[in-house]
Amino acid sequence: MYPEAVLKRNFHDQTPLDLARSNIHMCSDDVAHYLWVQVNNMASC
Amino acid sequence: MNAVCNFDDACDDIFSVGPMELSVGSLDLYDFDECLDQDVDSSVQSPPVARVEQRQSPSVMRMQPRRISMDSMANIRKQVSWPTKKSSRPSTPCESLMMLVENKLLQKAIPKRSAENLQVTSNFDKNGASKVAEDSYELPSSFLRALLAEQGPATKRRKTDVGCLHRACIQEKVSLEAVQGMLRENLQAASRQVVVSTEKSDYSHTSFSMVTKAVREAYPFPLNIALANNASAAVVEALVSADPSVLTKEDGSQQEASLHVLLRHKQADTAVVDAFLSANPSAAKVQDRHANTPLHVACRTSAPLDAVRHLFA
Repeated sequence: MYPEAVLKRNFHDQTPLDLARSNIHMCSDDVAHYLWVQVNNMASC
Repeated sequence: MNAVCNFDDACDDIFSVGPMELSVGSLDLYDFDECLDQDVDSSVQSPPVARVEQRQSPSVMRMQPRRISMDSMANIRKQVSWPTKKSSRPSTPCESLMMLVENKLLQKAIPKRSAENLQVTSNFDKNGASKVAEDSYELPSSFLRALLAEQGPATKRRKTDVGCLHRACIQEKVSLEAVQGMLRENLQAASRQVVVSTEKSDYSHTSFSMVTKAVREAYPFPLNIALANNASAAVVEALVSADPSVLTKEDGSQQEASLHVLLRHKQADTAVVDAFLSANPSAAKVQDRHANTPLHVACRTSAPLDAVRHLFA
């Protein structure tokens, strides 16, 4: 729906991947890995 | 203006006395022309009692608050000419006092949302309304309780449909039939912002006991109230289908959209996320006051991978 959201930064300069990495007790590894793959895909494009 | 006493000072006098010393009828000491400078016909004369009190200084009045029985309130309608608009004309003397309080005191002292708070609560529970007034407006509860006791059923002048849906959404196990019935009555209630308050018990560190307080709900939209109170998926989908544009509206102190609230409170039911995005695809682009997208919130909570996938693409 909104692929650009994976690169969006909030006012604390955090991307969704940053939040997933910092909240390892809440965010599952699957989600963090999925976001990491998507960020790499977006960067390669 | 003939009166010596300013209305604001007079109201301070009224509300500075304790709940037991309060006399509701003491408002007839003060100048109603000044109270209703825009609404009241200027040709109306002040009551005789008010003329006597004009000779006294405000400090004397502050020292000796007068006690006048509730019977004297019956004269208020005769003394004040109200605007010709039918809907705004009070039907009881107490209602006229209520209008005075609402129009002159509350507009200055508190924001508009809190004024709606009192209206909604008074539809359901008079004692609850006085508690809200005591907490939110810092008015003595006996004052407004006396007003509401004489006012009678609030449905005479309030629209009962406003806030009923919001009240229902507060309940954790609200039935789908009830929500659908309310939406059938008034479809616009789903997109209406109404601040409601509920009574919640909390420990008071000053009195060392549990105290029941009227707490304002965090979200004015019924959909977000339902999401915050763990309503069922069927109820949420009924509210979404009533007005999908609510999904992109910022709500609450954090200016969150409904998708933020869902991901934060409901641990992201994937079916509900799908329903949100299919009803309004732009719901995924809304940012809260910290510029967090729903994907940020999903990564901060324990959202399942399917929900994140649907948010992303």
